Amino acid sequence: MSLLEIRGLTARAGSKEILKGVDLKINAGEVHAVMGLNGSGKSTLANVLSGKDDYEVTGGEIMFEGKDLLEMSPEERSRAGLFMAFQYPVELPGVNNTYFLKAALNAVRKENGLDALDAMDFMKLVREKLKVLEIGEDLLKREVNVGFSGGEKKRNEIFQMAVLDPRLAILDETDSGLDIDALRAVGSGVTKLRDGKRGIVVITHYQRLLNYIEPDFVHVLMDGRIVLSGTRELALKLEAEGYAWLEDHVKTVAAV
Amino acid sequence: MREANVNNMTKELDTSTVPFETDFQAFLPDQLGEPAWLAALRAGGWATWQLEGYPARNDEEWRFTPISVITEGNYCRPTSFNTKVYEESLARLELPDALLPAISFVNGDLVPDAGNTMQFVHSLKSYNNDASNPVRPGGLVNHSTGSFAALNNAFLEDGAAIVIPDGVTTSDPIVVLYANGGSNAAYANLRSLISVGRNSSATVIEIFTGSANEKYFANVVTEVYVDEGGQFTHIRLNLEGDSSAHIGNTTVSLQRDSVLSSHNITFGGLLSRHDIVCRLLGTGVSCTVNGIYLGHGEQLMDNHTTIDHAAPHCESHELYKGILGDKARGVFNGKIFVRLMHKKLMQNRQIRFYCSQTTLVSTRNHSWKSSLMT
Repeated sequence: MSLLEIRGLTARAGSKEILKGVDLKINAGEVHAVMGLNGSGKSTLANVLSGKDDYEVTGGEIMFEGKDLLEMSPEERSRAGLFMAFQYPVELPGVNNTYFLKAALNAVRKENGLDALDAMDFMKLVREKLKVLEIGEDLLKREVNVGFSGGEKKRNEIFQMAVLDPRLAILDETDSGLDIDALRAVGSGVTKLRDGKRGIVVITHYQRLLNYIEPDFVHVLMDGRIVLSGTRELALKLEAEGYAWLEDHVKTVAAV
Repeated sequence: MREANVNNMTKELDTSTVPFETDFQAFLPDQLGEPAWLAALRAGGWATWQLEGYPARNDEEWRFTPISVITEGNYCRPTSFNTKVYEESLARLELPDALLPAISFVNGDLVPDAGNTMQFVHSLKSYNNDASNPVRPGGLVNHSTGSFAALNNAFLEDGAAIVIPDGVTTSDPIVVLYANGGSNAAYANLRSLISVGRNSSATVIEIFTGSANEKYFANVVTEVYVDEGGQFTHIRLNLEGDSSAHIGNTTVSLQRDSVLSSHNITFGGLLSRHDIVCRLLGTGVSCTVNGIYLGHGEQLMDNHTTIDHAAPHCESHELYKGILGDKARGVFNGKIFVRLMHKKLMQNRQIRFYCSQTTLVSTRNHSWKSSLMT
């Protein structure tokens, strides 16, 4: 059984059809990169997977470990092991990062029939994860994303991912707005969380993040469909040559 | 209607006494053979200057900036090149080796064979003559920007062109030195064009300096393009002489996911004014604009900032501080435009903050916050 299987997914925002039949299959342990131009539907795909209600699914199905994902609320998806690193992480003034994470983690543990972690055990776990990701402890005392730089926000997302230990993580443009050092830190953080069991979907506008997170598969989303899949070489070719050749390729295939 | 006609006639009559007219007529023949786009930019600049001249006192943008230092200064373009100004400036600045200028100018004219040659740094004059260059001056600041920008376009000749290609991270700061003065009431027309490519990173330090106790007028325009994912740090150091006038305009265009970190430091000038305009044109832009000024004697330190959130999901941070002694004055005028974008519906909304003197402004805008404000 695949970890995630998307079949013929169509979705729209308002009256505009954005996804026009997406098929994607992700097995446990695989890292998939989804690339595409502005407006190709990358973020819509991520938002539909996370359950954002601004989008209406008009057809197709998404199976997550054999369960119908579209029937689940965003909270249920999260508790079932789906994690989303947002393109624009939201600030939560007044909410301490530690309390936020503890509440989220214990909700996931409860769902899996585990006891809630007490403060001592939680801090032990959190310190371990901080060490692995090479992040300073001051992050814990701050309010969620408040006053964080672009790089800190994205690192905080990866830190949340490490603590929540999801089955499938979707990283929506986690590389945007990062300088080379922050990019390296985020890339190596994600790579450390590859354990052969977790599925990771990296949605990105640029190829450069894939220098740090080696994907198993690269998919190109164009006009709401995955038009080509391949390996990392495909991403390199897109970076070097742009998307124009692919548009021609798609037209040729359609004509045949 | 009749009144408007009379005004136009008055303006037409005034053209015989347009400031810098003699200079411009002497300067123009040297520009023969320049590219057509540059000639058009120049013509537009001069036509606007002829028509409008100095900003009027009742112009809202100039209400708190008395410019008599400039209007009564009888400034003119220096006819000779004074290397001494450059040498004295370098000696005075005592820059460490890592910060030696990559390119230097005296009153806007290139100092030949000076500084340590750096990759991606060109003289604007030679850069403009290469038709294959995609980025040109005048794209962000032209005759419609304002009187002084129009004058700068009219006298556009040389300056710094710093063009970083896609995917390049430059580790060392690129220093541009503009040394001014050295002749009686010199007018210095200074221009920088900076372009940071996709996912590239660069730091540029512009230093403006000049002879102490000597009257001169520096009119500066800096245009900056930061492409998708580019990271740009700009340090603007005004160390002009205490008797000088300095009018500057920095306009920055920021594309998707780009990051601007701008630091504006003003210590010099009897009159120092700097307008910075940041256009946040794509989503995910992060823009930081900081400024500090230190005034004494009868100096006027004037900072105008405009941050235009033309796209959603951008953030901007602004912090200006000043210390003033003696009879020095400070002016701060900050504008932030937040345009509401919600799905396909787009509304315009303007939020303005007007502050004065020693000011602390910190703003952060997200589209959801904007939605709450409607």
